[in-house]
Amino acid sequence: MSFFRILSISTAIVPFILLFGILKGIQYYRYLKTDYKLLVVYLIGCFLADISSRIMGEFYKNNLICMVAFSLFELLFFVYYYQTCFFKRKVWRYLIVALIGTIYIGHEIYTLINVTPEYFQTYSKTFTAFLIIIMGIDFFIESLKEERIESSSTMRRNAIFIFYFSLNLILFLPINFLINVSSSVKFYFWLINLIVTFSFYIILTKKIWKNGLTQKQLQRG
Amino acid sequence: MEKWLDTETIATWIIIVFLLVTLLAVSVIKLVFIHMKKTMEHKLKESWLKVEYQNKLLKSTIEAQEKERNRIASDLHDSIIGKLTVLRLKSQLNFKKEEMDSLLAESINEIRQISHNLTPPMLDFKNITELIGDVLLAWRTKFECIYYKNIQAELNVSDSLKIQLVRIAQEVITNSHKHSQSKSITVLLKTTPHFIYLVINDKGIGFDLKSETSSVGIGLNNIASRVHYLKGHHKIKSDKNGTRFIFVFNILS
Repeated sequence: MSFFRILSISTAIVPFILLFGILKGIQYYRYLKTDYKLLVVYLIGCFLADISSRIMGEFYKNNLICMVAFSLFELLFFVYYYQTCFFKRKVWRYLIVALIGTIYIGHEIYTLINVTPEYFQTYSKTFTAFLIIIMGIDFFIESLKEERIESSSTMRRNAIFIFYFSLNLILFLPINFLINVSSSVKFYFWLINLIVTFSFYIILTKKIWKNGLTQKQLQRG
Repeated sequence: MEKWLDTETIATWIIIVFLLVTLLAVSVIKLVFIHMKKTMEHKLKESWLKVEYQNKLLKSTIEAQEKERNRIASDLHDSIIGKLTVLRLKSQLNFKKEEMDSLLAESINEIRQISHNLTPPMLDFKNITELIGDVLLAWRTKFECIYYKNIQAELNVSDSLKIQLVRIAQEVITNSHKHSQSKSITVLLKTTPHFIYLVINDKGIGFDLKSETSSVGIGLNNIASRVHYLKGHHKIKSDKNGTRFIFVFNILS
């Protein structure tokens, strides 16, 4: 079995990790804090995007538009997540940027829906990742300036988001190159993406599970 | 032509990566800058608090000095001057020589006591164990004094350290006698090649450690000031079962 075949099969593990995280989230849902309840919703979104892109790929042989749609979901989700769980007050500039982003991504969906892979180049994922990184850094600066004592889990979660979306931005920016280049070098990029995605979903699942267990103990005494 | 071969697309990618790297670099610099600023502010605040604390100690020292002067003045006025005045009157009235001699002896004793209170006698020739013992000796008539000694090293300490230790012991015992209602006091003195430990314990009613307005506050600040001067450390534990003062001095410092 070649390296590329192994890589291709490995991607099938992603929905199982997501499913496991969702099941754990559902199991402890009523005990979870709002931050983690929202993460379960995010995992559900990721799972649905993964499954629908697989189905689309099977039927239409082109599922690239799913990536754009998924980046719209990520944009709306993370803007809401940061406003609800991280920032102490509503940050209007991000809401405005999110609105502009939504219009832009909507436009991309409309223009790219019938585009062949050779001409497919989206900046939706880049836009979303950029905004999340800025919000993450802003949260760090705000906490440091105001000398707020945030829990270490909140800080760690924010750092994970910054790290993950920085890599995401770099990896998805040259999407056209990664789809169309004939060289096998592109598979190394996809391998990195796979490892990063695996790690991200596993960390989120672990966090949901851990929080569920702790909160259950606390609420049951 | 595929999109990635297009120069415009490549330029866009480069610009985005450049923006990302710039954003990350600026953010890191800003975070470090804010962190440094906050650290500086904390250090400044800390040094202000230190200065404030030292001023408080200085104020207590001055107050304690005034208190001590008043005590010496009243000692001299109430006992010595009184006795000498009586002696003078009796000498004018041609009283018996024995009676006058007795009054003179009493006056000499009073002066000796005042002198001993000011500076312990034989300071140069006595070690710290003996000096603390002398302090307790004066209190034995007033309440039970238990003195434990654990001398692991014979220390050659300076007169300054000796006198300050004596003053600390005097202050603690005086406070304990005045306020604690304890019938006994226990003193432990331990010396090692590098350290002197002094523990003074009573079984009285204790006091509020945060009290700053009472005379206890002045006494405590006076003790703190002496400990600070000797670069030592001290801890006070007080509750309804009694009070414990623990002092540690590094003689090398």
